[in-house]
Amino acid sequence: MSEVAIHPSSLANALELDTPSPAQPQPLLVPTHDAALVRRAQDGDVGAYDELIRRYQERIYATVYHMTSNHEDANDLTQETFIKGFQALKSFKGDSSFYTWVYRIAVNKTINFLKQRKNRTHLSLNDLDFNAENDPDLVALVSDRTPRRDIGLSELQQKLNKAMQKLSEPHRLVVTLHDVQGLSHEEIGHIMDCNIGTVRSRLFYARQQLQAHLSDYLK
Amino acid sequence: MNPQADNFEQIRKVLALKRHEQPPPGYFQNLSARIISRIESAESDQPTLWERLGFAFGSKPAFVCALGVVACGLICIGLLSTQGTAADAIARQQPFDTQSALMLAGPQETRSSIEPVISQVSAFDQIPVRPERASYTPPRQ
Repeated sequence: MSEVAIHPSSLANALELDTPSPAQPQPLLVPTHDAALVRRAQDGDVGAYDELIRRYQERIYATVYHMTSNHEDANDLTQETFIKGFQALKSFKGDSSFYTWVYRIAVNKTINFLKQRKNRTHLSLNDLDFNAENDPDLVALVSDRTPRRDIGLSELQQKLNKAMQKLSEPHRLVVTLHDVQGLSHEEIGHIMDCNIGTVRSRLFYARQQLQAHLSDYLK
Repeated sequence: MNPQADNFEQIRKVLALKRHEQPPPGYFQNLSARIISRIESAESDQPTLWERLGFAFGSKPAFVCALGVVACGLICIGLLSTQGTAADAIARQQPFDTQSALMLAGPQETRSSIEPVISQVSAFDQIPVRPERASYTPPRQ
């Protein structure tokens, strides 16, 4: 896949924004006893694996959901990810954290799924929670700063998801992991098996693309 | 602030909207139970030796068809090669017998198949006949 050429000054501007805002979740802190649960699960303790699922199900689901923009697909892929994780657990050597490892499984499964699905994109979006209407940034975005002042949050959600689906899978993944889920460049590099420079350039390109797709709602 | 940076700031604010997209209430309460249930049912449905060898026919109709065609082909090839071997054996045996018969019969005249065969010698000539005087004396009464 071809990447756009990035002007150094543009990249610098993009990188200035890379510090997660206070609203974003902080990078994941892996509990120290994940390793103990993994060892028990490797010995066949399904209860220990159940605990691992409970810890990471929301993050895994969210990543898959934001990649597919479809709740049913996200549900299937999340379940398949954890099932595959259990089946492959014996091969887990502990070189990375369990979270990173299971995340890789989710990402690979999702990308394979999206390649097979190709252009058959069908949005099945989750409802916005109550807090969205109270988010001052979002309220300001739909009421003050857009030329289409009649747009509601649901419509903006539709537009945003359609714009996300226009991105390539690696670019969508970087935006999802960084701007939606708040992971650091380093964590994303581990998950995507690429260096930080690649993560940053993909993030910049993806934001540029989203900006172009949503220009009517951002001016 | 740089306009492009400002736009990225807006993009990030819009992307924050996605964090408010939540699955149906209670979805995560049952998710792990569903996954564990699937794991346990998958473990109880361990594949048989036959399936492990790749003969799970129900799930691979194309494979089964291909296997059937190959099996039929092998049977046909086997039959044909068996028949060919038998014919070769007969063919190898026949010339020997014919040749032996010819050798035993001695040299023969070759005739065309459309030429009528007219024998110059009668078949009776083959029997040696010697005329002998016959004498007959009638009995006296």
